Amino acid sequence: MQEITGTSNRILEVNLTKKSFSVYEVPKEDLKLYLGGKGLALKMLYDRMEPGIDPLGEDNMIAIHTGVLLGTGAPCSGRFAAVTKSPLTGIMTSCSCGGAFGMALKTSGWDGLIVKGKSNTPVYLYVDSKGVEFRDAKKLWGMDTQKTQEEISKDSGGALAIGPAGENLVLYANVASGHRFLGRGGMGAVMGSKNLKAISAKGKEFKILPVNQKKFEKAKKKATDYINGNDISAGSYRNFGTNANVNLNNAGGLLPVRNFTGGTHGEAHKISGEEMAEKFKTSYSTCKPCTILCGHKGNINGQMRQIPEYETVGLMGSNLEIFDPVKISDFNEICTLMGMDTITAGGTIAWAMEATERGLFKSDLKFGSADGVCEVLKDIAHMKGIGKDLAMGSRYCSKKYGGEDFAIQVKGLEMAAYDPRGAFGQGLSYAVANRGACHLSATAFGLEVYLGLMDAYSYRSKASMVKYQEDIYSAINSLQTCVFTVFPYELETLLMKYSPRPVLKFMMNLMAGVAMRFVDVSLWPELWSAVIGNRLGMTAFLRVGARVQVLERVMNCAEGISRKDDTLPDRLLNEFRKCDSKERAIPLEKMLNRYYFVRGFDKNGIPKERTVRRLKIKKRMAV
Amino acid sequence: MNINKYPEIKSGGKLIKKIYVAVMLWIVGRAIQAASRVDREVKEEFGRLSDDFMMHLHVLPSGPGMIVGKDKNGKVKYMGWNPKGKKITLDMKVKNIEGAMLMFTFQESTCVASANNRLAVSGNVPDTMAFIRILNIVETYLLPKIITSFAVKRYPKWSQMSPMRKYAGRVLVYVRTFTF
Amino acid sequence: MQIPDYFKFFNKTRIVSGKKSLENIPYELQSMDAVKPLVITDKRSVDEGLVKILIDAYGDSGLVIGAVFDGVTAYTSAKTVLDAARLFRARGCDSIISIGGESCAFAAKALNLLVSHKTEDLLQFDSLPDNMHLCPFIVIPTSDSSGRETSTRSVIDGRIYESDELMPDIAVIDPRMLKKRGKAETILPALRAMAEAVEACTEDAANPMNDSFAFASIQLICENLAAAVNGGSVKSVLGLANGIAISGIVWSNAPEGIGSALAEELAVRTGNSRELCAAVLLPHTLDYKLKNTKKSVRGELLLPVAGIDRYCAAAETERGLLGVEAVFEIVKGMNKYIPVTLKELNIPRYILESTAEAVEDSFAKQYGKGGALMILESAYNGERVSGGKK
Repeated sequence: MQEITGTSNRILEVNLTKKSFSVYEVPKEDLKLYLGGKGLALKMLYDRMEPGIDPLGEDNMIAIHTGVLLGTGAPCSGRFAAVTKSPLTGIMTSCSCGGAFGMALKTSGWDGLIVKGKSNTPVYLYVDSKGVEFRDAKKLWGMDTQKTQEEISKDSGGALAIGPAGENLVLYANVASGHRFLGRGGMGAVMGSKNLKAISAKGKEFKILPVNQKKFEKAKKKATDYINGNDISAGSYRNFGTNANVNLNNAGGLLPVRNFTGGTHGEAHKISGEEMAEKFKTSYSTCKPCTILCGHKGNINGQMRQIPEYETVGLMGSNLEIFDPVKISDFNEICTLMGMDTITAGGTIAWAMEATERGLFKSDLKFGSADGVCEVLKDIAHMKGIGKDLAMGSRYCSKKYGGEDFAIQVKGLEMAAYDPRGAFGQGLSYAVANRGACHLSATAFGLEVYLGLMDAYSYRSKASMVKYQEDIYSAINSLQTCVFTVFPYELETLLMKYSPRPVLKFMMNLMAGVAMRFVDVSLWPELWSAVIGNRLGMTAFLRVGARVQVLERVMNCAEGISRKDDTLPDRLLNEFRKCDSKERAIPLEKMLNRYYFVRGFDKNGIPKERTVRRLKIKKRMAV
Repeated sequence: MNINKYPEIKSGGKLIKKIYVAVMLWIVGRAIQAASRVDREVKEEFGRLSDDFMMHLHVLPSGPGMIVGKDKNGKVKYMGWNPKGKKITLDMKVKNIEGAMLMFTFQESTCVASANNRLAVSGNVPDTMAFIRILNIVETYLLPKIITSFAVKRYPKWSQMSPMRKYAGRVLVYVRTFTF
Repeated sequence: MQIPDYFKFFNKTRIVSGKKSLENIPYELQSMDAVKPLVITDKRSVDEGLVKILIDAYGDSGLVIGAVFDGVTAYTSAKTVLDAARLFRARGCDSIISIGGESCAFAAKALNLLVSHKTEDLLQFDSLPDNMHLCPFIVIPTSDSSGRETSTRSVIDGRIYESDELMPDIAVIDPRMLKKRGKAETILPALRAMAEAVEACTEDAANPMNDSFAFASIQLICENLAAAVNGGSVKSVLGLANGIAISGIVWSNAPEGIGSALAEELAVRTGNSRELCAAVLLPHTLDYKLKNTKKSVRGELLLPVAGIDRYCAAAETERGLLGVEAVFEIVKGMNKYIPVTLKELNIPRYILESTAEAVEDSFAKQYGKGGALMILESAYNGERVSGGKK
């Protein structure tokens, strides 16, 4: 087996129209400025794509980058990033995904992949160290995601595949890699629009070695120790998966109930991770490599199935007032096979249920009833009946049928399962997140509710905190490792572990911006510099995060995004949760002004020229 | 929705404004009575009006008012504020107390006020015109030129009202207004 | 003036404008046999103290305000209207006063439908007759007003309810209710109102009654816009508000024009405000109409836009063209404060195409195929429309 020391820096540029490919070497400078993963994938599109193109047209591109840690055996590094222009939101979307494809692509000798153009007939790509083969996919067309992967994985190490939803251009179709997904923003539809059914990679042709083996091993050991010593990563997430959040959110009033009207529900414990672990006798089913082990599978109705993740349980369970884990698993299974984002599907169905209740929309859907949901999900995937409308997401539906106030979406992307009225910082984070109402841009609720380090109902310090979190998450996604490493790598450091809680709380509430500077985040840059051999400091690492965030914002602004889009749905701003007797409303405008200030945006939410220049982003498009 | 969060709102009073307007109306009413004895022009104007002339100038909806009319002998008299038991031939209503304030603090002249739709009248239009003319003359007597010029459309020229007549009239009107 | 073979014009709204005009409300209500109004408004108007001014103006009237419902948001939903209706009934109100922008007026109109028909179901009003007996309804425009307050339309949950009877009985324009706003916030509603008035008087079916209202509206806006933006004397602000209020009446009496249809569609697709889209498209739509139709842009337009001097100085045949130029001048002059091209708004090209496609069919007969896209393209680059019908 051949060896790659550090990273190959080679990207495959595939043109589906011409059925040709070329190799692109990432400049050393770009690697330093953007690290890899999401950062580099975004940069590659920034250099190549013109603003204003149709996301489902020939000009849209998909960029995949595996990051430099994948293949080295670093903890929780079994992930890769993909970026494209989303047909659901019309702006950039970036996803991180586990599964076998990343490893297979990387060990085929490629750091990433750019897919351009559009094929006339269905094809799938087969990637090995020599390049790309364009293979006929007529036989695969119409197959579900798992069957497709089975079919084409015979001579490859891993595959990315879309299901019928992607083929039919459902705007929130996703792409599967094993049981993991490039979930949000409709990357599956983009692949479908290019007649690209799947991408498989041979893998196991190269071995990836870090440049500084000794330093790498040291950092790896530290990281593993941190992960195994942390309550969240080695405790709740390892034992119960992300569904451990259900009980926490129910207690904190963050649970979406009945299309974001409740906040808490008496039956929520039935769908909690603890209960499911016992009921379904779960075992691990995770990304590889992974040290946290949050993914689980279990015996559901005699079938071995993947346990639904928290977002699925929240949006397709409590948010529809369905508290039967078996039913939720059924929905999850359909979405898995058809290749659809469960968050958006759940959010859209919740809209449809409420709109039906109010007489705005005709369907048989009803809150609290699982009847018909499976059929509607299938109809959505196949664009039949009411599925035709629902396949466009709740923003489109609410504009067509009315009910924009209860379409819980920001910038067209449906909100994840954390009600921001119980954590104001999360409200800001949803409003400003680059790809829409995304919970992975900054998990403010973690600090506000789970750890209790900040006052959840105050607007103070929230802007600096959200900025900091966005930076660090973007940087982590550019390495790339799992974002859950943020809990052990930050909380297990000496300062955080041994500082008295009241002091931490005081600092965080009054001057989060300053307090965050003392947090030790050196482990991530250590891992990166051990693999590449270049020095990367903590400040430089956070700067990469800021750079990626602002770059994505610049690209979005070129698509017309501005302050008008950084908002929350009417319901979250003007109505109150049933569980909140004090009726507290999110002071979004105040936080937004502050956020723009700390980010270096102007009042209209456009990055200032000075900010862009300071972050060394080359000027390419007018915003 | 909690209905109790949206309470009923009763309209507040504007007592001081009402008192001010009431005093002004009283003075004007008495002054008209006085002027009808003193001034020839006013006398003539009243003479042209019918014998049962009774004018009620008041502020809606419950504001102060004044009644000026002819008594059985055909003499012009200020008859207080209460229209009860009186046969009103000309009913002039100021639509609201703010309108009355604008008029009686001389920010708007009578003509401008009626142009601005602050007055509603039921009765004869010629009678109304006559009454407004009377009002103008009375104001000329009552107030110094600088204020009256705000309140009337045209301040009378020398040829129309000689200083002699004005000052003598003014003294007489004042004396008659404030003596009973 | 142009007289079509057949036309109708309807206006029910009385405009009461000027100093202390709010104080007339109790009198006006009583003259319509109403004594207990429900005030329907939004949080912003309450915060700015507008409701308090109304309550003070109510002083000495002896009447009671049923309640002040301040739950209206920018997007008017049926739930809001139902809440207001519940309150209306619980307090035994008999009339409605709306303070604020179009969303308040929309909610008030829908509320009027519900309480006048004694029902809870708004969806039953699929098509509205023109002879309903509705409660007395007074609109008080504020600086948020867009002109739709005085129109025949209400939009609830994205659904349109339209009837002549939905026009307010009275629009009370009081300078105290017109608070100072940012420059862009002053300009945009005015330009949108102007766009609608201009559109109405450049339709083939324009009638003399509506024309005179439209010209009044345009003139009020053109004369007062600059003054209201720079400083804003009471007179200019009041003039502007009157122009905007009149435009609603004009708009209700005109068929939908290609400009407002495009602006509406573009706003829905891009999330930009309707005001902004309408303002950007205004001169380009007019330019397109001038170049593609024979009689729609008449020379008379120059008079309200540019004033009597320029009107008289222009040759009769040139007046139409100069009118369009003058509109371009006005909109471009505002570039300091608002974007005047679609390019500045970063609207993606594919959205322009889909917008044009959506609007195209209804106007293809009138303006030829490809017209909608031509308007959008020229508005994108800020250039004049080139050529005629495709």
